[in-house]
Amino acid sequence: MKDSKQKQFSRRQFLKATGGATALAGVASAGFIMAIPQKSFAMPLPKKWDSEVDVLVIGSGFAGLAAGIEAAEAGAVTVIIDKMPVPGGNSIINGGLVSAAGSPKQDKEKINDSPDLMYKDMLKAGLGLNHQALARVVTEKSNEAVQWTIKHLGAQYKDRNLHLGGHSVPRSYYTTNSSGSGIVRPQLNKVKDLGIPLKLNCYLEQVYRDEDGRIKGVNVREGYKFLKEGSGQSISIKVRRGVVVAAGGFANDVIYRKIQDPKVDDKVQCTNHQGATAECLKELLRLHANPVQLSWIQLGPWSCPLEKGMGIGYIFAINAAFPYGIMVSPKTGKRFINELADRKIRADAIINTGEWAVGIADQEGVKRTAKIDKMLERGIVKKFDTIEALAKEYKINVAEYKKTIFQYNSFVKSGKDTEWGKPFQSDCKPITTPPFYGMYLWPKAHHTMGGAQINTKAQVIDLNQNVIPGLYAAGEITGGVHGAVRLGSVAITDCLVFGRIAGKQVAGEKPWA
Amino acid sequence: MASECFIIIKRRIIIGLSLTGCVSIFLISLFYQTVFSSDVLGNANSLKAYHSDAELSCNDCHTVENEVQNIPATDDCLECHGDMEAVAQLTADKDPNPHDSPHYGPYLDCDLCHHEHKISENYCGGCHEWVSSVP
Ligand SMILES: Cc1cc2nc3c(=O)[nH]c(=O)nc-3n(C[C@H](O)[C@H](O)[C@H](O)COP(=O)(O)OP(=O)(O)OC[C@H]3O[C@@H](n4cnc5c(N)ncnc54)[C@H](O)[C@@H]3O)c2cc1C
Repeated sequence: MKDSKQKQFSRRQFLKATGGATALAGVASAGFIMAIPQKSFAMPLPKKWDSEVDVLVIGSGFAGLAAGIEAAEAGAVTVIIDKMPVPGGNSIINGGLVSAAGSPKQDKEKINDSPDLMYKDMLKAGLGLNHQALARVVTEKSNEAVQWTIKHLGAQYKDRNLHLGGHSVPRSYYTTNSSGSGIVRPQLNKVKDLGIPLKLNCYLEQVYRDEDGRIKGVNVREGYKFLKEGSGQSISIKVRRGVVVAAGGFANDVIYRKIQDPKVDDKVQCTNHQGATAECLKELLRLHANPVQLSWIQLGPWSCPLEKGMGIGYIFAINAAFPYGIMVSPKTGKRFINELADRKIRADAIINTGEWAVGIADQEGVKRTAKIDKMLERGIVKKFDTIEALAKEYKINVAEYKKTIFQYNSFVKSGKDTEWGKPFQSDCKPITTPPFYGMYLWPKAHHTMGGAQINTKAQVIDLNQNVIPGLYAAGEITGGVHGAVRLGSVAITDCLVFGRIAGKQVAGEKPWA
Repeated sequence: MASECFIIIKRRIIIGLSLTGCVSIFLISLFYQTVFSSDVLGNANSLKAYHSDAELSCNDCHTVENEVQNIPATDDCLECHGDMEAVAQLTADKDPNPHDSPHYGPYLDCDLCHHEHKISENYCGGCHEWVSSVP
């Protein structure tokens, strides 16, 4: 420590004695204060700030809105910005599934669950790469977060719990409108009620970290037009307490994601909103935030290659084909994986077959599937009177496929899938009731597990494992919670839990000025 | 740096002159279009049929009250078109209703899709393949 201070000192002396003066002149003429930063992360602060807040939140998804709400409720003057012309990022287009361990819904259905069991599920799917303390916080506060959306925000959920892949019990709440907007819109209403300014078309350019290591403010571009680099006007904002970076993941940043995982190149489709790019993560790295597991990029196994983005076909896959039906490979006519395994296992398995897989369910299976009419109308899901007709459409090896269904039905009857180990829900029935439904499946880039390192207070951690004062992060831009593989419906929980923590913590920071 | 100055100067000039009416706006826009190929002002002399049929003139939209640079904002559109819920009602028979998104509800800015002086676009098309023609 002492050593490094001395080194800085001597560097300063050196600059004074040599070329420093020329650089100083340049900086001074640009209107900045006369100090040359010594740390590579530091930037000269503007002499005069254009505006001033206690807390600045970047991103208006689950995490950013939760942080903004908590910070404002704790009394901090808070502003939320988002670069897009619409609020909500990935959150507002999301599927609306959020997990809660030990919830009242589970009590009602007599499902035995606990934060501990959820934690074990997360670590299993995450291949143990999860930062354990973070995963603990998410699981322990999961129910509290979901109840907060209900009681404090007025979010509404369907009656039943869903059983998603990789979870050992049904533990996912499902918004009434089957969309993340069922949570984001109540959040936006709360933001409005609290009088928190939410500035859209406002792009974070740069965060000021001072020589003393503390975060002091930001530069944003107001009136920014998405993808038009340099559009809008550059404004500096002094941030007295702290900045919360909740700018989401980078699954739609083809160049950056391909560097992290060359397999996820431009040929792989993506479910994310267009603004899911990496510039804020890169800015965090410039500030010396520690990167965690950036190359774990999740592909969703439930997406249909016949539609753009997330589309609606996934609703059939997760509600019908996977829990109540089967997935087969056309060439072999056989199942090739537990349809409720975690996402990585399923996505890899589909890709390894080398061809689009087919998800299949019968009339019983689609009973609870919303929007089935829409999927049929758009030709994403197709309906057949017989299993043979279905096989013909998808060019499935009929003889094998009939055997597959016969065998699968016997597993359902016995309650045990001795071939792939799929856990059956109590109301699972054999596939026998016409009509039969089919849909093509091929994975799409969906979630970036990696990101900036945070601690349990949502403070950003630097390369040497020290807290970066005044800097918080929450949501998909952080890494560690999910390890190698995120379980379905745990992203919302993660975003809400850590967004709320970040908001409370940042509001309690001592203002630097 | 230099381009920022231009933006400020341009804004002052435009705000100052807008009072003297459309002709000057048109000339300035022509000038800036040639010099900077501005797409802020775009092809300012064309109006979509539904607006010219309604006999609108430039100042009906480009007013001194416009918050930013004389560019009409959603609130300005709503002066004539009623509130967003009402607009959503107008297309309630369409599925999906372009004015009532499952994500954003009716609360999206008009100019995400509708443009007066250039071809309109389908913002939903960024993620969805179903196309609807946008007037
Ligand atoms: C289609 C889809 C369905 C999903 N379904 C589920 C589900 O059912 N359950 C579940 O748990 N998870 C689901 N997920 C994952 C989950 O939605 C995301 O992980 C989550 O929404 C991330 O929230 P966030 O707040 O971290 O970021 P986001 O909601 O993405 O918000 C980040 C915001 O930051 C803004 N931003 C980025 N860079 C800048 C910048 N430079 N300046 C200013 N603003 C910036 C973005 O525009 C964006 O609006 C789904 C994801 C997708 C894409």
